[in-house]
Amino acid sequence: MLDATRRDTPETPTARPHQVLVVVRGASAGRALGDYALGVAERLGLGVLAAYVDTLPRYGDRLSRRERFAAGVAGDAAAFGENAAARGIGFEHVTASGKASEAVLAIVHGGRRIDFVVLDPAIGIEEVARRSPVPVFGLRVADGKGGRGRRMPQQRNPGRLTMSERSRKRTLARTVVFGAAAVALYAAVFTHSDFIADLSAKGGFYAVVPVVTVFLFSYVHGSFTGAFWSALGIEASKGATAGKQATAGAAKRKDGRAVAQVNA
Amino acid sequence: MHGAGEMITFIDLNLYSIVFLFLVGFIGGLVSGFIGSGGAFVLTPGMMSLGVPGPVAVASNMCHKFPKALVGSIKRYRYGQVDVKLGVIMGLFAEIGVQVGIMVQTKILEKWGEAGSNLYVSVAFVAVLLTVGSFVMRDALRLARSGESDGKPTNLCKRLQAIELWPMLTFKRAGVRISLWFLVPVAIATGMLAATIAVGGFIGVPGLMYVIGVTSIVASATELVIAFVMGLGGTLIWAYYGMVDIRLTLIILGGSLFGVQLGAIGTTYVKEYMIKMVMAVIMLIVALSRFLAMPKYLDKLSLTSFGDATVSVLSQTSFAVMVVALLVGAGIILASMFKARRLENQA
Repeated sequence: MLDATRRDTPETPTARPHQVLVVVRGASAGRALGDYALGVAERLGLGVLAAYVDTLPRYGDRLSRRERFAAGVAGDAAAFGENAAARGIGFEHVTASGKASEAVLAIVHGGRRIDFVVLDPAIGIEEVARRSPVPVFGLRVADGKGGRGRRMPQQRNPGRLTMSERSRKRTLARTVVFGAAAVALYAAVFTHSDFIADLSAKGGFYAVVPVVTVFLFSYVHGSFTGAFWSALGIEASKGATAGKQATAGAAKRKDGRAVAQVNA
Repeated sequence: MHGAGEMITFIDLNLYSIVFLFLVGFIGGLVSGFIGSGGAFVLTPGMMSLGVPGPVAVASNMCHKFPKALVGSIKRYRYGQVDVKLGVIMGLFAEIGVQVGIMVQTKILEKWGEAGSNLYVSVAFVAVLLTVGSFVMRDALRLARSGESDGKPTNLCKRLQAIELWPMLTFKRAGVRISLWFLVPVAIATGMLAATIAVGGFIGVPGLMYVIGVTSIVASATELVIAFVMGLGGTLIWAYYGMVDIRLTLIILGGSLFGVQLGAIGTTYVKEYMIKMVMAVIMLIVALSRFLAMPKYLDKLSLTSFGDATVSVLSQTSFAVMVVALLVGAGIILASMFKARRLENQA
């Protein structure tokens, strides 16, 4: 579902530069993502291809959503491009809609020379990493560190919440809201424990009583416990999950990148 | 009330039993998030040691197991460890095994009463845990010594996978292509064990690893899907007989949802053989615990005469050994997880 709104695209595959694919969710690249991608591209002498992905193309009023998205992308890409130009880095952008992993596949297989992919922190890395034929790097913002150990410019935007603070606040809010809901549910059941125990012990069609109850509890309390461990900073090993997925499908992968042709 | 429910009484809850169930739930959840199942093998005896009748313990356990398995499998699916297709197919056939297991269980309850039923559950525990546990332990020790992260498929898996018997099924995530006919026996055995002791994973996970040829990390994650599918079906049946004590279920669930999330997170840090190691250690210790508890039921059925003093000492030892099993398992998981975390943070 790749739209053909490319800018400054060179014509033949052989003339195409090696690029870092920066996948942005929505119409605006976070500052951290942009800085990180440009820094890497500068160090490695690569160009930057920004792919703006509308992950919910069917959400709400499609037409106006599309227009807003296009306008947002145009503005953001212009700023991104200026930053890139200031550092002497080649910049292009494309837009896509649908799943980020599909967009990455389409772009990487589309005859470009993508050396690796840098993902917006708002996109789940697992699926993209599993399906992508080139390495995928996520940007970790949860602990305030850029991927590969770079520090995020937290102080550059005084007065504005950085990504890490925002996600931590969100986790805390989830913990509190679901925690309160779980406590309320438990209080409700255990103040009426005899009634509910008798009801579920009746058997027959009352068999649905315990089943529905535990489903409700598992949603509310499960969301709470998940957020609880995240709030404590206990989360899955990023390296292990991405790494394991990378090796799992490695044997079947084809290199979809354009190949240099030398005519001697 | 329906059927066997008439013989069953629910226990009174006090602070001690609530705290106990919550903690056992947490540790059981931790273990099952990590090795795919196994909260129940600790929880069933745990509840029975509080005086809960065997069938109510199994039923309440199963009722807490499937939502826990759901939460755990969603978490591990996000880590790319779950083969949903394998889990659902196995789960559906395991359902048949569950039906058979429940029929046997209700027959025994009718014929020999609670003590007979408890004895049957204990015997099943000891037999399965000893045989499978020692096998898994041998494999885990071999892997730990050789330093490999996970074993190669056994000769049995290779031979079974080579047999082209219609219908052949391909499981992408698990990386396995095998005939349905070899999945079915594993699934049915899993279901039967699940209906008997509420923990099918002790056949399911080793079956997936050594018969079907799935890695231990995918096997333990996929087992959560199997546990969900058959747990839901099994719960409906047990609940139909009115054996679910929802209060017990909810207390355990309260603890186990904390545990299952943590256990699932833990799998992303450790080497794969650790899963086998933890599984084997816990299985063997719990087998010992249930073995020590058997004289109590044997005496009640007047099959033996150990005497009350011996029985009470043995029961207490059995309880203590079970607590040790819990703590050892949880300790290994947490220690290896936090060690790996520290190493990763240093890197």
